[in-house]
Amino acid sequence: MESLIPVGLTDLQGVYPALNLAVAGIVILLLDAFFPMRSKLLSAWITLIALHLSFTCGLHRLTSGMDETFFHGAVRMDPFTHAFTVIICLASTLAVLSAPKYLRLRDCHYAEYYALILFSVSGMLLFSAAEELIMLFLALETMSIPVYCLVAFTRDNEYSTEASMKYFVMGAFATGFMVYGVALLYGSAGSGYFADLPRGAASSPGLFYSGMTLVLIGFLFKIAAVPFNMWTPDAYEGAPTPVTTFMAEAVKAAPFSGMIKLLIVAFGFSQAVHLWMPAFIGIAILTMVVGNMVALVQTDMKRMLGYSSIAHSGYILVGIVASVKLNSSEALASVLYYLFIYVLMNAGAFGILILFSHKNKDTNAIDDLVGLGRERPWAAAFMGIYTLSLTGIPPLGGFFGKFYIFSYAIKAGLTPLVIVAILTSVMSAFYYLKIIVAMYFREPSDPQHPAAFSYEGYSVFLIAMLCFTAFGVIYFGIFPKTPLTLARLAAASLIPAP
Amino acid sequence: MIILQTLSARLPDILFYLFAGLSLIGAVQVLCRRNPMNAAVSMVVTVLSIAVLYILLSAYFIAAAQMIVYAGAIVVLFIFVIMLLNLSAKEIGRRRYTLFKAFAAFVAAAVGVSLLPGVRGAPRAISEQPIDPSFGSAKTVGRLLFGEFLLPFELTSILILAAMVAGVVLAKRDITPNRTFSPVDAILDLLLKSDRKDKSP
Repeated sequence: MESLIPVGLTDLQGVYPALNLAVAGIVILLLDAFFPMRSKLLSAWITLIALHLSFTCGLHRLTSGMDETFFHGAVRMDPFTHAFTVIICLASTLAVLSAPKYLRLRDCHYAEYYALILFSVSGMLLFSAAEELIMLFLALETMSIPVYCLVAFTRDNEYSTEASMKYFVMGAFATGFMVYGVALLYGSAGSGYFADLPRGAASSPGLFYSGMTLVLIGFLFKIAAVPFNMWTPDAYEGAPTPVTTFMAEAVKAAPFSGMIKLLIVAFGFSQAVHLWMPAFIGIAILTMVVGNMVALVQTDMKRMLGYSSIAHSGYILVGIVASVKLNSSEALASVLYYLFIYVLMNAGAFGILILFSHKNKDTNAIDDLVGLGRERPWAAAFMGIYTLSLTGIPPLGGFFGKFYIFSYAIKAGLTPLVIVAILTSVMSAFYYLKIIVAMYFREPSDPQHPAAFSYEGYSVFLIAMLCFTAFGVIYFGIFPKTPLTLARLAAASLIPAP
Repeated sequence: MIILQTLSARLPDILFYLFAGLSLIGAVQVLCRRNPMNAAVSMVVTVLSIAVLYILLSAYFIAAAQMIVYAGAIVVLFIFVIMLLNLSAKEIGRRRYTLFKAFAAFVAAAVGVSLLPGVRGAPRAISEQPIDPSFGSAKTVGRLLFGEFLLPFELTSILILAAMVAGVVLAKRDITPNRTFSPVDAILDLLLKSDRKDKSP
């Protein structure tokens, strides 16, 4: 008799990184239900171990070049997916490290926090592996729904609740676009597998191109490209800072994985490219200009970093457009490298905010940082490294990330786009330097009572996270060889060398 | 006689246009009705007409699932919530016509028109293939769910678990556990002495 459920152990091993995280999440929930603990540090440790296991598994598979499909082709574990597994697990680890003390100070250190993060990350990993539209959509929802809740995790904070509501409604819109697009694409091609989709363009182009537009709009919502960015600043500002860290890194990086895969595998043929490429160039320009311009006038750090993350989406879009135009894996590798560095530097900047957040008041305004350089030179130096890297000052990682993307974009003949990108980068220096000026050069408004900087958010986890990110931003900026080699390996699986 | 014969031959087509039209009317009513209760009932119309369309496509199991899950469970939940909120006519407000709504209607119409040629072209090719007699049965659907689509199917369980946990976290008044001693705590106390001072009684 044939087996009723035709799944082997190999299939389960294939999705191990995601499976491991989902199981860890369930274990945390059960442990907390049967042994309600006063200290939730055990959940934090389980989370970190699970993320570490997935991280090492992804890294191991990336170096060994594993490339197989599992579950009847629903997921494909190729080096590109492994690279995103590594980036997403790293980003989530950094976000989890920043959380315990912050939440405990606010009396909302619950095990559910870690379980939700783990479910979300397992969705992200499957999202980057998806090769089929239904899989892609469900993984995207598994990724998003826990985050809506996490944004409102400090439940008595009305800003958080408002931010969560806005994020949820906007996310539901994005989902609506996405599902409509998925339905139309399936209707045109008669199959949900990415590789079969181009068939639909030949048989019923009307359905196919409408579906493509709608799916891409859904993605642009998720990556917060202008004009689909309206939820970002509010959600970033209202969310508890560790959740903002998670959103600005993992939730930011993950949608790019599915989008790049879909753009290259399903929409990579020339007629479709001719349609979406000009739109993407326009959106990239808008995203960079609007993101950076609005960030200039912000006084709240989290909001400013929210707009700056919109701007960074623009730079990444430039990289994607360039790599599709050149059809070069090298250019795609620069996008992966940029995401990797972006995760490091952004996590660090949020980490400093968490370090000085008081129990009743978050340190969010730029004015709150006045005098930090004199009072806490080390923390100020770390913050300086992150902001300079975000600006793109050599020899830090952020510079090389931008440099690689822009040089490939010039090679692809996108010179006007690169000119806009460089001008907006210069513009971004103004607001990033505002932080440094506040820390080192500004006198406190009331010299008698300078702001007291107590390390109220201090924890061993957070210090480990800050040291690692600062080291990473410097080290991988000066020696970009290892991440670049891995990124090239990953990109070559999606765009084979000619 | 001839009329009857042509009628019975054309019956699926007639039913299709009838129920497709009904589902459209219901959908438009969901959008336009000011009173949420009327909107919810209009949604039942849409959902049930779509179930009939599924039957016309010989997807019997999906049609039953559509009726039980959507019309039976989801719309009932909607109605529960609406009745719990118990909105007065003042809170509902009167109908307003804005430029934005006109624009939205225009976009919807434009999408419909742009999709029309694709929809007209597609089904011909499919309808000529003979249909497998087991098509649409619970067994076939089950085989698909537990075969080709096993991973997405299992992923929904994680998705729903996450949504449930999220709902409890947001809605429960007090989620701090009552019992504060557990063996895990005792072990943790031994291992992590530094953590002890932060624990509130």
